[in-house]
Amino acid sequence: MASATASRRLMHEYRALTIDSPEGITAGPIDEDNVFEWEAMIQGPEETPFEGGIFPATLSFPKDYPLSPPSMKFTCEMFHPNVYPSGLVCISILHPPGDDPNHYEQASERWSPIQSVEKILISVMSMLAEPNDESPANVEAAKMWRERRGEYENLVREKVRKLLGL
Amino acid sequence: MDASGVSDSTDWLNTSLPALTTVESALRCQVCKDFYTTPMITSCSHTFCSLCIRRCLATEGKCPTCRGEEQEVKLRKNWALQELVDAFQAARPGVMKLAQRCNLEAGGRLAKRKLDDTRMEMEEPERPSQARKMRALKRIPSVVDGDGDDYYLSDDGLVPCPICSKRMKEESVFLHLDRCGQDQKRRESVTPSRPTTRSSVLADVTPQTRLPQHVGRALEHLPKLNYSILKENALRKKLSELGLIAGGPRSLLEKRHTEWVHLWNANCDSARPKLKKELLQDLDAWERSQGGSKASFNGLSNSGNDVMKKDFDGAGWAKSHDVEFQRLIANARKKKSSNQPPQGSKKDAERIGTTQDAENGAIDQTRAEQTLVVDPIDQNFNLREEIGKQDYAQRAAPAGTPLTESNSEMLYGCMRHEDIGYKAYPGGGRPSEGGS
Ligand SMILES: [Zn+2]
Ligand SMILES: [Zn+2]
Ligand SMILES: [Zn+2]
Repeated sequence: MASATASRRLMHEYRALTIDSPEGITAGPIDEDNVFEWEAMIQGPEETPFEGGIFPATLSFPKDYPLSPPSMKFTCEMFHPNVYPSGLVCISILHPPGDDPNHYEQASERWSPIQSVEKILISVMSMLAEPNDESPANVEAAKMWRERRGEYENLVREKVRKLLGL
Repeated sequence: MDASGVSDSTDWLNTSLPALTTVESALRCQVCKDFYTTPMITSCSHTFCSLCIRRCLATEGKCPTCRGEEQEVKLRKNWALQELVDAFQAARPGVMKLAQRCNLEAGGRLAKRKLDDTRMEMEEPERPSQARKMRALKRIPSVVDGDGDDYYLSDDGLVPCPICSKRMKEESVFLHLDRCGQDQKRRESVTPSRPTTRSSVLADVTPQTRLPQHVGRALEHLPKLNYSILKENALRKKLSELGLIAGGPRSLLEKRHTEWVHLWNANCDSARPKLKKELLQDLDAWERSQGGSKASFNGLSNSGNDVMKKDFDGAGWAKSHDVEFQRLIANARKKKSSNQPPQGSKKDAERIGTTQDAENGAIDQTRAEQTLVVDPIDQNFNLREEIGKQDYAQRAAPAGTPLTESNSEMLYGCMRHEDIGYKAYPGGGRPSEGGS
């Protein structure tokens, strides 16, 4: 039972997401042999330049989940202040309360064992709508977002169209 | 997914009793998502399984819900909740069956949640699922119970009570259920007892056959060790004294000891304590599940996923999600292309799918050979001969089992276990912590 904690918890989350997931979000294990690696799809929020896009990502869970948070990585190109060029997502809910090298995050926004995949994905969705440029993961994107918003939005729209093959 | 794998509060959503989603969700621990196992209440009045909160506090020192500072010594048992969980779990299968049956006739299916719902949830600090679920409920076509439906009707024209299985006229079931539940409660002890379907066996046992810690002393909690002042040899010695494996690198020794203290202390809180043998098995299983990316023990690695296999319908997932992904993509494309003259070919359209596949393949599936230094449990467990005969699972006589000499021995076996529990730990618990 002890060992199953992480996997059971992930099964619960997966199960709940299949039965009742928020609109625009899909997630689940990539294959049956490894419940610690998930794949997720996030719909671009409406009235943002990401609107209309579907963005694939992977989630990697630690063995001590939910004590520690998973990491999340977009597997498509994602030009966003809070996403590293590698695709790795950098938002507070994915950071354990213990380490905050930047000292800018509210402890209350960070990971806690009662957070969930669903909450992460919803947070990422709202991150797409409202970037946090206090501690950018992609400096170039952050700079453009801050200083040349129109250009940034056009670039994102262009990338979304490309992603959809339109 | 195998339905017998994990149950979840959302199981009720597609039944005629969707309101039970909220009820069941309140009976589940927010950390492990399972029904509470030995619920403990914190000084900030939040409740978690004993083991869950102990692990959380060891990591963070804070309540997972409100992030208030908390210490293990402040935790108190929440017996009432334990009793409720037991009763609910006992009633669940029967009620679920009825509720699913009713819903089949109504043919309800849930719509996806609107994002607006979820946005609002983000602003609710605690138990955000509840409000949403309430909203979800409103969308479900309500099913009036029993409009001429004949579930459970058989030759005699009667239906069984889901608790005691007594057959009766359908219209009497709900009235009877009230009484049946109370009767059961009255007959059972005031302390939490193993969920049973009522069959008078356990109800009539004399008080001394009840679980021991309510009449006797509680098992003693183990103290935490300050590893920084403990030499490696002393730590190894400590582990051997506890009957644990003393091998492995230092960091592993500490983690093993910490987890053992959690398992042991949570077991002390339990209304139905396990045998030490079982705790050792839990520790072993925990150790096997460790390793991998974050919590890696030098050289020890194991996916720990074998546990999942039986619960996980991979093909089901792949199929349902392919469909789901494709639906999402198709919708997106439709929306987009209505603004933009479509020019992409079908080949382009598969792009997302293919990059995904490549990515999946790239994901490191290496499951390094398991090189656990763990000896078979048996070699370390010195109590095996003394107790080992009865399995815990049978210790409290299963419902419907007549109380014979042999199964009353099972009940007593638990008491003996308690006594042995003291001997089993020569280092002794910290008495000051024991009585909680
Ligand atoms: Zn729990
Ligand atoms: Zn709290
Ligand atoms: Zn009392």
